[in-house]
Amino acid sequence: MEAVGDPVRPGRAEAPEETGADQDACLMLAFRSGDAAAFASLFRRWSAPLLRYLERMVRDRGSAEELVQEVFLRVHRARERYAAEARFSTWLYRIATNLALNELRRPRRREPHRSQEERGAPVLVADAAGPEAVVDARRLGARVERELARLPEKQRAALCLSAVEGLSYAEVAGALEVSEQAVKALVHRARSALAERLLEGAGGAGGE
Amino acid sequence: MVEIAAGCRAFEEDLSAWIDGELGASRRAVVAAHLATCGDCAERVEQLRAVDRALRALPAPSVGPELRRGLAERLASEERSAARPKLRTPPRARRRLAPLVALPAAAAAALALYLSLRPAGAPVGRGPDLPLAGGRAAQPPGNGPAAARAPVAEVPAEAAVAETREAGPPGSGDLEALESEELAVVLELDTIEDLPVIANLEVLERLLAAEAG
Repeated sequence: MEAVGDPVRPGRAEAPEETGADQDACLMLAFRSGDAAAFASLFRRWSAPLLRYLERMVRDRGSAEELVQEVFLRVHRARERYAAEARFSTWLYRIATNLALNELRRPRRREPHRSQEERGAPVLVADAAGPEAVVDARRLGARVERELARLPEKQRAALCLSAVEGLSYAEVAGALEVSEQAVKALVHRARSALAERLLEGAGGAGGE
Repeated sequence: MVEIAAGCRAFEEDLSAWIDGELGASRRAVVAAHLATCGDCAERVEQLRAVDRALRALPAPSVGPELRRGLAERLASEERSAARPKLRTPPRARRRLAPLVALPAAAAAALALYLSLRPAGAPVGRGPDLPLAGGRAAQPPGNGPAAARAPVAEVPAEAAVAETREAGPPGSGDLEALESEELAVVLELDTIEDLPVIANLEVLERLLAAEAG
C-alpha cells in the first residue's frame, strides 16, 4: 500500500506573499495614519482573491464585484478603529463573508439553474490503482461550479476559504465566527459532498 | 452515500483535517498509521484531494478597471458626506475658515499626496495651469505615516494664490498654513466641500491605475 504522503496546504500559495509580521496589518496602520498609497496596495493585494471568493459565494459576477467594492468601502470606513488585533486577512474575509451571507438571504435572489443532462454526468475519476485521482479539467469546471453552488452557504464558505483561499482552520473560524471544530466539520462535509456528487460511478449520488 | 467500514468511521471526520494539515501531531500519527493499512481510507483521501484540485483549477475572475473606478467613486462620495458637516460654508465666502488640518485625516493626507503627485503645470479642474508640486515624485510608503502626514512643503501661500506659471519654490510654507478657501481657489473648485472629494478621487484613481500596471 503506497503512502498517501504528508499533508500539505497548497492553497497557501494563493494568498499574497507574507513577510514575517502581517504585512497587511502594517499597510492598514499606514493607511490609518493617512497613507493613501497603502490603501491602494491593499486593494492590489486583495481585490482578486476577494472577487474569486465572493463570486463563488454569491454565484453572480455583478453582485460579487459590488460586494468587493463594499468590502473595501468598509475597510476604508473602519480605518480609524483598526487595531490589528486579528490577522488582516481574517478580518477582511469576515467582512466579505458577512456581506455574502446577507446578499444570499435577500428574498429576491433566484437559485442557480441546473440543466437536467448535467446531473449524474461523471466528471471526477478516482483511480484506486494509482496514488492520484485523475481529473478532466475541461469537463469538470462548470460541473464543479454548479455543485459548489449547491452546498449550504457555510459549508461553501468554509471549503472555499480553506481549500482555495488557503486560510487555516483558525482563520476560517475567525472569518465565519464559528469554532474551529465547526470549521473542521463544515470543511469535511463540503468536501465529502462534492466528492460524492462528482465521483464516477458513485451509486445514487446523482439523486438529491 | 458511500459506505464507510465500521473501523474507519473513527477516521472519516479527520480525513479533511489530515489533508489540510490541521491535525495535532499525535492524531496525525494515528491517522497516518491507519491510512498506511486501509485502502478504502487512502482512496477516500485521494478523492477529497481531487476535489481540492478541481476547485483550485476553476477559472478565477479578474479585477477590471470598472471595479476600481466604482470603488473610487464610492469613496469620493463617502468623503463628500463626511466632509460636508465640518465645512459647511457658503460658496465663495470671503471670511477665514478652519485650516486644512480640520479635514478628516485621510482626506488631508490624500490631498497632500495628490498635490505631491501632480507634475508642474498640470491642469487642475477647469482652470489655467497653476504651479503646484513642481514635479516632485510621490513619497514612497516606506517613509512611514509621519511623512504622509507631513505638509507637502511645495506651495507657499503667496505663490499658490497668484496666477503665475512659474513653479513655486519648495520648502517654504505648508498646506496647513493655507486656508481651506485659498486651497479651493488654488484648485479652482466651486466649493470648499469639493476639496476632499477631488483629492481622494484623483489620488485613488491614479494609485489604483498605477498598481494595476
